[in-house]
Amino acid sequence: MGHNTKSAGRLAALAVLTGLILGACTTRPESLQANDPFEPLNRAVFDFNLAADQAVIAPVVYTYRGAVPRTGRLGVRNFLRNLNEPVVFANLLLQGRPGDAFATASRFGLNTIVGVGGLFDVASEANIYRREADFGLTLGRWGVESGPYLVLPFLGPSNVRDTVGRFVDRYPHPTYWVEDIRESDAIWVYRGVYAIDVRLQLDETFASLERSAIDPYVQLRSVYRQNRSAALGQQDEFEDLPEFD
Amino acid sequence: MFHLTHIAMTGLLAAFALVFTPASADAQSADEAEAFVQREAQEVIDALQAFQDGELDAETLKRNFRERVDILADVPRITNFVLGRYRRGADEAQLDEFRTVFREFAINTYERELGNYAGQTLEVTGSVTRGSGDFIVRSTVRANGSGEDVPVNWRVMSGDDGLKVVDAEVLGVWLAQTQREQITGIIGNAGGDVSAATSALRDRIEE
Repeated sequence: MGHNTKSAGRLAALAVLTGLILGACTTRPESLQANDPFEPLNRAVFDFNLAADQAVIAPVVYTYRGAVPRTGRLGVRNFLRNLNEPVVFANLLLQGRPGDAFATASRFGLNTIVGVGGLFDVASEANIYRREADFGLTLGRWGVESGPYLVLPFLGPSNVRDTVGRFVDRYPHPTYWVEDIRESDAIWVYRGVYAIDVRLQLDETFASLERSAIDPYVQLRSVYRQNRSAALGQQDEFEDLPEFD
Repeated sequence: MFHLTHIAMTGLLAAFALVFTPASADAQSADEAEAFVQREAQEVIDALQAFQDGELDAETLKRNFRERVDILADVPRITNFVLGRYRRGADEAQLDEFRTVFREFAINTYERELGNYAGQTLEVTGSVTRGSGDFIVRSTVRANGSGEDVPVNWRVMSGDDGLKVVDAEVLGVWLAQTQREQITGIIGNAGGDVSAATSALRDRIEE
């Protein structure tokens, strides 16, 4: 009897969840063309993110910008980017780009040792420029389609492929290797500083939404898709541009 | 003898073909497209700088800027593009109203977006020919002093009034494509009613 009640409860929960997901779907042609079948749900998360940004995140970020001089902020950014180089390195190898992977490993070594733990980007001054790669892009290079567009709470625009990529990219990151950091509150300090720096880098994107968006939700979706295509090198030869007449 | 004449004739024909093939015409036009962007886009940036330097009042800036934008960009063609499939079958009066409001909105947007680049130097770095009369001109906006150089690509197409810009890509994002996605989304949400987009644009202009 108890078992039956539990099963019935699970079934009911499953039915409610399915209903929620189906209810969040849309059949509008524009949404489907933009690969955004979950647009109603995504819009709700987008509104939540904007409200959270206005209420908490942006004020914290602007306080940080006001309190820490430009040189200090640059040091923080260099440090965070340097910590991420092993992730870039692993993905470049997976993408079959050994030359770029070698350059990234050289950057990591040089900046960690000569650049005082990554605070100074001496590698760029030595003309070893920064490569960008993540597991979402690696999957893209392997031919995996992006899947539907998603807006993640706090994290913003993504898609199914890039969301999977985000989870996978945690493993080659140095903060994951060191158990003392991974298992302690230090990981939250790292994540907090990282979030502030990312939001600061995106300040121009936020300003542009304010300045020129007709529908900010759609503008951000379009910007995200185009940025990721550009990062995948799909726009290099400009073959996929639309016809104008 | 006949053989030699034949070879000479073939050579002459080949030379003639080299001069007059469409590929050659495109190459020439690609150069023209590059020169056009170098000249006209820089003029637009300079007009904004003159305003920021206090050499122009707001009224003169607006007039200058509009004239410059019309030389640089094919606004009517961009307007048709952003309407997407809703251009066909729409009421002509509604389309006219949309065109007027979109033009106002687009010029305001260009002014605000390009305002960030006032005082900077545009340097054309090359071009890609997509097809006959359809070019991508690559450029870099050099930050004079602080800030980073920004790569900007221009889609230049030839039309009745010669070469004109129809879209611009800044940091991987095409402006007109992004606008089309927003406008067709609004019209689609309103069941194909173009005036819904006109109202949305009007609201944005008034904000």
